[in-house]
Amino acid sequence: MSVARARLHVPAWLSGRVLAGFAAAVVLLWVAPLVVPLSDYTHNIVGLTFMFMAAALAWNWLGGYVGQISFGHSAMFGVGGFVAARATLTLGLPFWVAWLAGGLVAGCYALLWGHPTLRLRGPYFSIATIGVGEATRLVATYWSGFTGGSSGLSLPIGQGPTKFQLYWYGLYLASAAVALSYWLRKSRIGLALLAIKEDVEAASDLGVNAALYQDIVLVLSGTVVGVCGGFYASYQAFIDPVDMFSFDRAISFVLMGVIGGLGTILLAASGAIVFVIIQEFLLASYSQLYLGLYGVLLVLIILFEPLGLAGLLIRARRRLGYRPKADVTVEPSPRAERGST
Amino acid sequence: MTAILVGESVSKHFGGLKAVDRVDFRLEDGEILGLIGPNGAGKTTLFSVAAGSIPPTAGRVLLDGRQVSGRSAHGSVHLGICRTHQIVRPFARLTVLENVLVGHYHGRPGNAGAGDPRRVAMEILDFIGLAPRAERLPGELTLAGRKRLEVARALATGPRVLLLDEVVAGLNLVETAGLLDLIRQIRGRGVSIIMIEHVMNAVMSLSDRVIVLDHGRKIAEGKPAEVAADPLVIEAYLGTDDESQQARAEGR
Repeated sequence: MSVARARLHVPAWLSGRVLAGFAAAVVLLWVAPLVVPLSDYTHNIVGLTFMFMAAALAWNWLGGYVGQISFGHSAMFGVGGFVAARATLTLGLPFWVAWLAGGLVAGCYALLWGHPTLRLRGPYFSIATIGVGEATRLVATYWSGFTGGSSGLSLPIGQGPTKFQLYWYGLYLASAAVALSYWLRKSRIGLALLAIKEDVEAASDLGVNAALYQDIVLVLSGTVVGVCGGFYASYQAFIDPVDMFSFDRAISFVLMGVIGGLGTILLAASGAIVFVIIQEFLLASYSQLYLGLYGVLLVLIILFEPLGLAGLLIRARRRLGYRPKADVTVEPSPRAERGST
Repeated sequence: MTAILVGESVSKHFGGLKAVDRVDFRLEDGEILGLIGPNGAGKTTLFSVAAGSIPPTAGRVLLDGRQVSGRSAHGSVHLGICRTHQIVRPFARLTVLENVLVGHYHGRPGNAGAGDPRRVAMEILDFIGLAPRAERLPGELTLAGRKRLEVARALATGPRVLLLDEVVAGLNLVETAGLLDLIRQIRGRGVSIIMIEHVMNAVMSLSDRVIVLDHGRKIAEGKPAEVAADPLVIEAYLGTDDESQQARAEGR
């Protein structure tokens, strides 16, 4: 570590190249719509994709880093969306304050159900989250005083950002999620999370406070997904409990993470791109069938490429003669096989 | 000498089974205490209680006068008591160095002030003899290597008391000798040690004192040679039947 770095308190894991690449990408995407002529439809869809990227990354903190697959993130998405919508409608707050309020309430809500359920691991946790998601959906549907019930809430047109402007807010959201992902992955917290994922008891025996770190990650994840819900409410200018809290909403977060690659950053984000493309294409052509097709897709990925896009990339690199880094794949050497019990 | 770790009438029952039954023990500062006994004697359970992983049914364990039993596993580590596992549990997808860093980052709170974490972790790996393998995955190590990694991680938490659960089990003679030497050096660094071991010459040569458990109860305690000659201990390990008693009687 150079003296200058130490003086600036730059952590060792933050390399200049990564920072420069990140800044360049954000600037490029910021000016792109001003330079490249895109149709309104494409422009808006890219904005929406940014939001889904942020949501996919936030889900991935729990699903990929800690290895706790949540089927209940629709709950925070919905809570964030409805709190933001209410904050705009009833309190007349500016849209970004409303989003933040939605995120904070969603984060608190995540802690409320997550603190007890995160003691479960693997499939037990996943099953519990299904219950949480469905219970939240039911409450939201019947609590018509807050959510408008089945008919939902319409946001006033003309207030807040237009769909066109939301592109940039989506970009900010996605950038923040990428930066947070990088920090979570590379800092000492990231190491604790990976240790928890591998063996929670062994991690505890080395002093890792597993309960605390899992809670932190879930609250962060829930908050960001809640903000995404607020963004979505602004984007659609209308939200209803079925759309926000439905089980396919919950599945969509899982799908994006799995398509991209659990535990990755940029690839998990690109999982959102693939997801949106598939969704737009399938929704337009087979609106009744798309959920079934998601199911088939999920099965195929798990069967043939459990690492998702990340796995495909590793394969491609290996074809090209690149030796993978120890981070992702495990190829035991002959000696290790002999030595194992 | 002063006691650093004291167990006061520690009991752990699983339903009707008294896995650990009113065991008292003292670990002196800088001591290596051997913990032996037949399979199922309750040795590992006693470790789990002392390390805070499971709460005792009755009694308590004190580290320097502060209660460590009944806390969380991580809470005990923060106070300075760390255990290793009989069946090694490395984090398979983290490198050897990262495995050690987990212990260093999340062990005792004082670790943060010890300087550049990677350098500290490398020093520990160097001491343990795994420095050349720092960037490898645990799966690429031999069993002896993974046993050493288990000890390195625990050492990285900065413990005052180290609980070693069968570190030399399954190793050949050369590997065992190397690891025993290492344990001696760890004691030399001011860490007090309790070791569970089935390899008798390992315990007998290394321990200052030995405690023998059988069916959850302490049946003997003392210098290794005294304990080895104790008839109760011999009975616990070899059992008694008419034939052997007869043989012993005739021998006398």
